[in-house]
Amino acid sequence: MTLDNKGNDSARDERQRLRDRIADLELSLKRTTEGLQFQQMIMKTFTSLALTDKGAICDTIISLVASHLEVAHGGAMLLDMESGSVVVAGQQGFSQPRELDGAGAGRLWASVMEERIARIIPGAEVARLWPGRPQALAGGVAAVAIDVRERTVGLLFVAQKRSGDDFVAEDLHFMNTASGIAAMALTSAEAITAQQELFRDVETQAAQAQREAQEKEKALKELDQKLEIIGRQQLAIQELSTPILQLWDNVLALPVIGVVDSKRSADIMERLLSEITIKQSRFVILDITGVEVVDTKTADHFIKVIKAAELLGTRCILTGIRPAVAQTLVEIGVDLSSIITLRNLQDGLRECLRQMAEHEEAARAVR
Amino acid sequence: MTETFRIPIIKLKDNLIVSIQGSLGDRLVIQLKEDITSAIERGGVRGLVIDLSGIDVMDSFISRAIRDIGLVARLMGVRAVISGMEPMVAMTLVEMGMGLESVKAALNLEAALDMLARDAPRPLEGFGGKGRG
Repeated sequence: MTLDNKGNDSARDERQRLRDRIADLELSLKRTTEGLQFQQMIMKTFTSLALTDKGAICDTIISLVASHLEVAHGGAMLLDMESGSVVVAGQQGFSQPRELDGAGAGRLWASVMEERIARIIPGAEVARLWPGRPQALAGGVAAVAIDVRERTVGLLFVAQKRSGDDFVAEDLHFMNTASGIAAMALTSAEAITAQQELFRDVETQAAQAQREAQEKEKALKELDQKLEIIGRQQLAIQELSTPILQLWDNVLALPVIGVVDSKRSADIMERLLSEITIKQSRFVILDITGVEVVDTKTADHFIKVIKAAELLGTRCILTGIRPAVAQTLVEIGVDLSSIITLRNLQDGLRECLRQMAEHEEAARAVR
Repeated sequence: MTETFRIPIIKLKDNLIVSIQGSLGDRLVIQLKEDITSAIERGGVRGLVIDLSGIDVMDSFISRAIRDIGLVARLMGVRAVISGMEPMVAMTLVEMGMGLESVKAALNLEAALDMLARDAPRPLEGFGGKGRG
């Protein structure tokens, strides 16, 4: 009987224990499922928001964590890379920002760093580490480090639950995951910021390039205008530099001054020949008193002009060859023997008049 | 059409006048040479005027043909004169280094006829010497 009772009792206990165990497991499963669903939601939130501000990220994550774990107070700390100090990046439930301070929370740092994964820091230990802690943290905290590329950059912590219950393993697991999400969000924020900066840089460069292109275009236009002016001036100078004079009836004179290059020679030839055709002049005097220097090319130009004029049926006389020019012509071996050369313009004109008189006489004799 | 076309040769007093217009082909040149030589052969010719005012573009073939005609005429005792060459044609000839040494040049037909009539010696012409003896 006693044995039976004992056996019954132990069986009942066993059953009860198993039942409790099942209830525990079911609860754990429910919490885990809820946690997972919530995590999914958090992930979606971050993915869709694509936050770039670290403060906003921390605020969002801590408020989501706090609402899931049903705690009134929580905070996120970040390590400021430049100064090395800990700053409050996001907080939940603290009425005054001053209640939390980076220096104080930083004291929890070393303790959390030891483990990296989420852990519970009892109230007494919090009081020891952080004497001036906010009242809300008196009941202890659950804290986890935020690691980015294997470096701890921040800290998530939540105060005791509203219900007063202790944190369970699923809660700590949830916090681990939350810290992972926070790390991911921070990393992608950096990437997004870097990308945006890159975009800005590219835009700036593009704008600059456009500005430069515009400036160059403007400069080019100015240059074109200048070139046009120079071209016009050149034309004017050319026209001024080789005037064709009607010296007498049937006698044209072309005083050449300065340097004769192929372009100017072509210009001279064209104008002289058309003038000869228009005026039907029988004589042309090419006066080169104004030419100081000649080379084979210059001499060739003169010979060509004279030959072309003679093809039209006009007589061509070269006058005003300077002593130095005459010497040069002989030295470089230019043959001007097929061309009538006289000392100066006056002699040239006299020769023209003489030939005209001769022609008249001959014509009269024919009649 | 070109088969029957000939360049007309006009006889005026003791001169022959030929006006060349447009392009000259091989056949036309040969025909012209024959026509000119036979006209000279018929007698009473002392001068030949080739008027080029109708030619805008002159290539080496035409210039050579004209020079040949000048030489042929000279061999038969007739002096050849060209007239009315366009400035651009003259420039082209000079630039190409082609001269027309066998013929004298005149500004226009009238001047050419004057030149032949006067028969005056013209020094320093590549050709023609001191005139006829």
